[in-house]
Amino acid sequence: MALLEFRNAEYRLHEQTIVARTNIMLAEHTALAHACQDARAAATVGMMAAGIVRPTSGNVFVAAFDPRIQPVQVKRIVGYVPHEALAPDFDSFTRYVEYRAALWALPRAETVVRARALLDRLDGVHEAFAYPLVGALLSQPALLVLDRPGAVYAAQILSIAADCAVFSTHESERDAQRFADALAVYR
Amino acid sequence: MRGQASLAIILARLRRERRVALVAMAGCGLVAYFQRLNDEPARLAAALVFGALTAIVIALLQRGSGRFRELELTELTAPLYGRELARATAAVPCLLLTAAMFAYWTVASVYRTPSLSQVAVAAFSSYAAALVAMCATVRRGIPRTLYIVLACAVAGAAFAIAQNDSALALLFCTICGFTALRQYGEALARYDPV
Repeated sequence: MALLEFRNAEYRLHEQTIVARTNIMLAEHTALAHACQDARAAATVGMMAAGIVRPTSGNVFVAAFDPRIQPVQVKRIVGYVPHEALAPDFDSFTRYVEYRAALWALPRAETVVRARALLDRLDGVHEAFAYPLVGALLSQPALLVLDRPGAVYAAQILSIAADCAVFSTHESERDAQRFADALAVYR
Repeated sequence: MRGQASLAIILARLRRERRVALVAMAGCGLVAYFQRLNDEPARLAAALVFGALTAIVIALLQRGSGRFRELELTELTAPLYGRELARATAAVPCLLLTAAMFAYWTVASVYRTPSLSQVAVAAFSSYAAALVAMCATVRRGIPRTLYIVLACAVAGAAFAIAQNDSALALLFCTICGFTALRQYGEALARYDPV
């Protein structure tokens, strides 16, 4: 069974096609770097895979759950890392982890310890990317969705997300290839 | 709704809105000072108009403005239903409005003690306006404009009703607020943050 499946999924906004018809199959414990036509399409495909944007036509399934019908079940399976840098909303990393733990109903103290251990393994990664990445992995998702990640962080991503299937979106074929190559080297 | 999740959402957003709270409180306090010599209906009208405007501005800042983009994305990826998220995010403008209304009536009471019904009508109409304006944040184009106009109209209608019966005005605001909150929850469940 595919963990992530796009079946003729398309997204249109105001008569404009943001994401052209897409078909994707991703199995458990595998990685896929998906190239899109531009940054907006990459962001939208990432959000579709995370279950926060529904396709206007076609279907997206995450572990056979349809985000249109079972959004909460989908969100329990997916960890999503947006492209935007983390704004300084939280005074400290602990505060940020506690916030995420509350939203995912995770035990607070245990989650903070786990988050610190994950962060320690992300040596050299900028906190704007490291914090959301750790945050996304706190609920131990089966699928990690990354919106336009940098290829330079491929090794660190794999080091802490080895148990997940990794789906990343990229704004060009070249970026996707670079990320896929970097993942292949470190896997 | 998990209380822990709503509390986390409310606190995270309030932390970001500290300056907005101060500006709203200062603005409402200033309006109350300018209104110190006016009669009761004029003071109530000022509280309703300024409260509604503050409510609309604060509500519109909550979603789609880009100020809370990271929080929005985190909330939307969390395993929460639309109605749960709606209740938590709607509590934020209501809490900020409580602070702004508190500033207004504190300044107003220095010059003349307000009646409890006036305070309640002003607060409830502001909450209703905020909840109606929250519906505008998840819509685009004409529906968005209509919701903003409707939020303004709630305050006007509440004032007109309060001239005859304050209890009826409170009931009107409660019904408007409750309906708007349900609408907001349903719209949020279908909301695409593209």
